[in-house]
Amino acid sequence: MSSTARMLERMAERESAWQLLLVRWSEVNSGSEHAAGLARMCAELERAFGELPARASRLAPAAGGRAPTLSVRCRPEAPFQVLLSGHYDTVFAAHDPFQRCKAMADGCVNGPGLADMKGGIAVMLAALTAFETHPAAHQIGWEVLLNADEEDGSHGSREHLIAAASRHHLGLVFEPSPVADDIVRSRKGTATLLATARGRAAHSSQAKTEGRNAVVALAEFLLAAQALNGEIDDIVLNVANCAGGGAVNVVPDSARAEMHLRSSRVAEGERAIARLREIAAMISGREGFGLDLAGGFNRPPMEAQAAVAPWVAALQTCARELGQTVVERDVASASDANFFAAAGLPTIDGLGVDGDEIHSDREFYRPASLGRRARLVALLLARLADGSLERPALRPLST
Amino acid sequence: MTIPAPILALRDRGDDLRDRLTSWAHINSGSHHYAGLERMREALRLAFQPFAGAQIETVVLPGTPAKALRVRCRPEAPRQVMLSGHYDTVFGEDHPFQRCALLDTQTLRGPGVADMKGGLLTMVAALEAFEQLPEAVNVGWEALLTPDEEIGSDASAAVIIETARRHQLGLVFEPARSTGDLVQSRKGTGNFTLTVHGRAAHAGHIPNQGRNAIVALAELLVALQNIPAELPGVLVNAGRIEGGSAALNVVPDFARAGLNLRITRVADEALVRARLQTLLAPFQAREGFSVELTGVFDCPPKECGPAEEAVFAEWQRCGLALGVAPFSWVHTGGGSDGNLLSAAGLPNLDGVGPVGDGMHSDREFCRLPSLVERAQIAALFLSRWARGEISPLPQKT
Repeated sequence: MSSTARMLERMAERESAWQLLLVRWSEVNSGSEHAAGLARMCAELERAFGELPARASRLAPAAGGRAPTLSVRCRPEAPFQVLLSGHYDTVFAAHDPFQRCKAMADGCVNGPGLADMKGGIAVMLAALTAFETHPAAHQIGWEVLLNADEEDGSHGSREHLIAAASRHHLGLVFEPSPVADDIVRSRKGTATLLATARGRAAHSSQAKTEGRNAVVALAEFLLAAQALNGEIDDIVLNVANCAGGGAVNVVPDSARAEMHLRSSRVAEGERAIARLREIAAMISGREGFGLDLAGGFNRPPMEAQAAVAPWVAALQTCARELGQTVVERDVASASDANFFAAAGLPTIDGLGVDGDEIHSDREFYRPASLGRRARLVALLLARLADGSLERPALRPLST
Repeated sequence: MTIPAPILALRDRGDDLRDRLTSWAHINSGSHHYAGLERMREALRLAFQPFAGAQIETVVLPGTPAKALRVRCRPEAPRQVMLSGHYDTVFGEDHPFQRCALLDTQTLRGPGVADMKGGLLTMVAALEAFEQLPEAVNVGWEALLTPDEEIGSDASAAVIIETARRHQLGLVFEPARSTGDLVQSRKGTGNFTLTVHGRAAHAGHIPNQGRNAIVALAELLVALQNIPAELPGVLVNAGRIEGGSAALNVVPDFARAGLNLRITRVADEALVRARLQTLLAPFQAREGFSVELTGVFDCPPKECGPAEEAVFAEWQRCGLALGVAPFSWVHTGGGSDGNLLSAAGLPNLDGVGPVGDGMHSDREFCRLPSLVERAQIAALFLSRWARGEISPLPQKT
């Protein structure tokens, strides 16, 4: 039996252990704003990845960030460097009722962050644990990079992500698979926008005369903004939150809302923002009212990369060997892969587990996909390490 | 019409009233400042103490440490009048507006000088003159001074209504308008919460499984703006909005708005409710959404009836006899405890306090000469009522 076959065989024995570890991680709340929970999750990850022959370090977040980016690096001197990236925050806040996992009738597991994307982190750990038993492992240096604010826009970690992109030849991102065994080829860019409406306060008995209701002005703006979804192809605009006013017998003089905008093409994105500015100007033109729009694109669109094609071909070869079919998909949501692609790193995304209904309390994953994905990634690394698969040309690194 | 000497003598009390009003305004009695409310209640107790035969009582209110002050005199007299006022103000302990200033010799600016410490002083001054008159034996009065009018009178509503039921007439010492006009009628008001539940989903695709609760609420709030045009006399204020979360890529499944609705006539309530149901129905029928409206019109409109018409005509007659500049009365959108008196079936005249403006802002002022004038009118009215010179008031059935 070959070393590679033995590696794959051993992986099957540990599959249920990884699934149990994932449930444990899922039940550690690590909402993007929950600093204490993020600290607990970071410690869990440090302990788990500490089993590998690698050096872990905590990269401090930029101002405003709540938790460090965890970097686990192995053989930085090796000729071929692979980046494995993910995030350990989730969208579920500390007080969200959705905190526990439960088995579903069809064999799936429902729980916070199982698919997005603690499952992907488990895939990384399972794959690297297996790969490090392979005799050719010394051919590949790798770095696991786990940030704590992806769901919040990666503002505190993006400098670390961009810096890491420049020291690797290939990026693997473990966001959940788009469907079944598929991977992600392109993602939309995302903009965060803040609309602030201003009016004039008055007692509510003077609502029609003195008052200028900022809540109503904001509501009109939001309806026009939402309508852009049908007006401009290729954008997705989400009105995400709103707040304004106070005592109900006072005409509110201020109200605000945050919106999230996605576009796969820069031109469409800019057109949407220009339309929003027109609508804001129209409302600002009314006597006693103002509407300010702040913000812009946060993650650039990730367009299909030519340089990633040979790596995808290698992955598909490994998949066939395992009886899997891997198809490239274009998806709407942005991830940190958008930063890696923009930085010129050939990046394959969507290598995490198979699941769905993310960002809701119906989030679930298919447990079998954890092992399938881990075998695929471990096999790709092993084949690239021992030369049994032709390695695509490596891009020159700047340092 | 002869003016009794003690009522004429009020003319010399201008400086005294100005100084007392200033000292009262300097006691902060914001609705939530309980220590300040207690100090103000003590100042009022001292002001009522000189009235021989008056029983002064502190009234405990449910759910608040703040208390009301009740002063009752001659409960056995054939005619009974309720004198209504509140001693809280909208200005909290930490509000910058705490001191009075004379804008000119006739205008005092300060917190609560019009709304309604000036009104309380008008009440006291009127009683000081009236109690010197022999005919006072025919009128019993009950002053009920409450600490929570500015925050909706939730705690004192029950005691106000219970008190109103044992009187034939109510006088509400809210300020007169800046024109000198009294208040003919007031809008009723109700606070409502409009809640929309949608469905959360990752907002990565269009279409998606999500149902955006904020967008649905925005549609409702815009639609609600048409109600005042469709139902004249109705006002709608969307006073507060909240919804969604910091996770911007999640379709929000929850949004809520706080509404304040005002109606002019009691009959408006059913019309507004029907209109709201019609507006909400299509939203409630939308797949994936649930829409809920909760709340009540807890403060009914104060409508003007024949008893109010009669009392106001007498009030004008008294003003004319005293040489006070002519005044009328007007409808106002703001509520007062006068609404509660009306709800209890007590005919009442509202806005009988001094002339002022700028209420609820740091521009609040009181026209000082009106303290004397309005106290004289109130005292003269009570004197004539006590002497039987005013025909019996039409009673509500």
